[in-house]
Amino acid sequence: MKLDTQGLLDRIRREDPTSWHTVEDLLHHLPQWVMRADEQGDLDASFWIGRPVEALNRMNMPAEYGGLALTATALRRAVVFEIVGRVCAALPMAMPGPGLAMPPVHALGTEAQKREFFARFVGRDRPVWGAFAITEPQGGSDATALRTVARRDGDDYVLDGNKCFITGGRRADVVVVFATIDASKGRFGIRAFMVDQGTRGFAVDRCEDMMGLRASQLAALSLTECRLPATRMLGHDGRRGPFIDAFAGAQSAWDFMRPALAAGINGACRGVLDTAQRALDDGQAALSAAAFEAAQDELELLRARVHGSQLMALRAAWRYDAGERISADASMAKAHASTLAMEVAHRVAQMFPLQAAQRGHAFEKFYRDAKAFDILEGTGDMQRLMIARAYEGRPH
Amino acid sequence: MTLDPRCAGDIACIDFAPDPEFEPLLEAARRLADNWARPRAATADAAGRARRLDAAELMPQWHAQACAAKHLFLLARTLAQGDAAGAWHELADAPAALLAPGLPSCTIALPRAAGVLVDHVAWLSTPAEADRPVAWPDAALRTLLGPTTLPAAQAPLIGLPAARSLHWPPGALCTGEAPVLAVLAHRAWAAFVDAQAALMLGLIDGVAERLVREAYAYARQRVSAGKPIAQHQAVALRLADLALNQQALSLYLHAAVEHPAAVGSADGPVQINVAHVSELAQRISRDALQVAAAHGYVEGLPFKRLFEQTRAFLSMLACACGGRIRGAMRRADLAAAAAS
Repeated sequence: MKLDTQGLLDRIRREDPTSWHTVEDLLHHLPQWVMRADEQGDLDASFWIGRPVEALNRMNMPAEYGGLALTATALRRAVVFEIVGRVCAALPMAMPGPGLAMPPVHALGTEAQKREFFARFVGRDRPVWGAFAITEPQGGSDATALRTVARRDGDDYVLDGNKCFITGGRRADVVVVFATIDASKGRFGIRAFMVDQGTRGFAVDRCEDMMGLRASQLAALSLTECRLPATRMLGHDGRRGPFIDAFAGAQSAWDFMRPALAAGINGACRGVLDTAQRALDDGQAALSAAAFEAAQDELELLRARVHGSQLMALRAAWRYDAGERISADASMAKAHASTLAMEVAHRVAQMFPLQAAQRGHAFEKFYRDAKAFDILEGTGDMQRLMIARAYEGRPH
Repeated sequence: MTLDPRCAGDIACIDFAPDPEFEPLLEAARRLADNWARPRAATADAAGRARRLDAAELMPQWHAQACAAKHLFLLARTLAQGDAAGAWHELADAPAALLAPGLPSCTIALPRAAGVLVDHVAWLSTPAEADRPVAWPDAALRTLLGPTTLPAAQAPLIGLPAARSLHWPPGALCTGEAPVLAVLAHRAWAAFVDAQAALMLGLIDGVAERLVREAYAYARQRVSAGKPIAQHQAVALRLADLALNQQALSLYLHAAVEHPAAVGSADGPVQINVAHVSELAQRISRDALQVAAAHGYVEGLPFKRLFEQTRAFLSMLACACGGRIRGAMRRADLAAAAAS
């Protein structure tokens, strides 16, 4: 086993100093914006002035289409998301770039579609976002039970339906929307469409007032007689016929992102534990000597748990880079990190009860943020059902 | 998705692949464990088995290569999945091989704390070990003193019926006039404690993995309300948490015995937090037994035995390590010890 994360970060720095500067810039500037972004539910437009937006747009993109070296592999995404997550759990989700829209485009799109999609993010001097829209009001965990329909009409498809809880849905320039062309076929009737903001019939209905992770912005979208050329269907090459497994494209998005998301959650846990340690050392917990020792022991135990969680995220990323199927590993890493985050939030809140109830304090914010982790990108319950099914099928 | 060509280079920094050079011995351990795990061998007395892997003989060489703890951990983990009692018997003498060259086979009594008037503990993996001399370290951890007789206070160990727990009250083993059995090499005692901990951790990890396998196997074949209980959501969620916790524990332990630097930073060595290990391991044993419910609680299926063995090994770990191991696995220290 090799665990030289610092060596990996040094490698990135040597290979692409411009890429690395992007992280350093974020780490330097984000802390001042954390609380404001939480209050406003967004990163203010003035944040982007002077930021390396051109590089940020290219995060999480394949190298062959102009992606950054910084996030070129799953291991790199994991270590980078972890160190950024130590600053704030929500802000990595507010960063520009194609985000979760990237994997289905990359997996399903024709070469022409990929070039057109990724070109939007290259050489731009303003932040550009992508979004991934599959969840619907009546179907979250059961992602195959879509009601958004895509009806063929001549050379076009007409989409009707609603999507909800879409990360970055309001700010996205392009949204990959999943719809069914034949509901009777379940997951095999699902297709993915690239929908530009401003397309007639596509609307952002509202942004949710979230309890935590507020800067990530969850939006409700509606599609009403939204007409798209058939070539906007990912994988459509102008001919009718071949089956496009769009749901596999959706699964590829989750496998792509979950190790990095788990790493980000672990980073957030580490950040709050570091803050708790400083607060403990500064006497902010107002504890007796014996209680101080007990609190110290508790922090060390939580750090040990986070360490195990970090390893799970890294191993899932390593397996992804080795070309293995990682749905179970990705689910385990994410489910474990999410559960741990709530545990950390609770225990730190118990240690610092005054601060944990003060709006705007780091412990109070983390307590609200941590609950979201067990819901977004697949609830912890659904992750566990997937894990159980995957383990059931393993040879014993 | 096409793999980025940079993946190969990144794997040079972070790599979870097994060590190919150690694989032949590990494969031998797997075959041994498989033999032990078969039903007809399940009741065989561990004392009747000759040691097969000669780990004790290999320990000094592994120590020189700064991989003794890792290899002992991996062997213990592999063997314990077949039979934890057998695994412990197979490897029990390996840590003592680091104390002094040519040290005769003996039982080492561990001080529970630093100082002169402290109590000591030791364990016998099989009754045959009762015939061996008992040795203990001086307060400065520079010499091994002995021999002494077994104490009157001997207790059977939960889950390990052939084993015994030994306890000498404070002052019973004094350094005063005791004869010197061996002079310990520089940091030999630290290496011994590390190896002892690695052995216990490997046994705990192996038992945990076996528990999870047994729980899934039981849930697949046990039918309730017309379907295997694995398909009932409450059981499926418990099974998933078993897998989660076992993977988290295993990775944590493996990283701790092999890698001195903390993940993601150069903050220093990983500290094996015994409280964390204990919490996870007991949760795994509790939840695995719960899957089998009453059938797991009584003799017959392996759950009862594995649950009890988890408790025994955790207690031994706590006694052997005094609650926490700090800096126990520093690579620099191991290298220095090897060079001395």
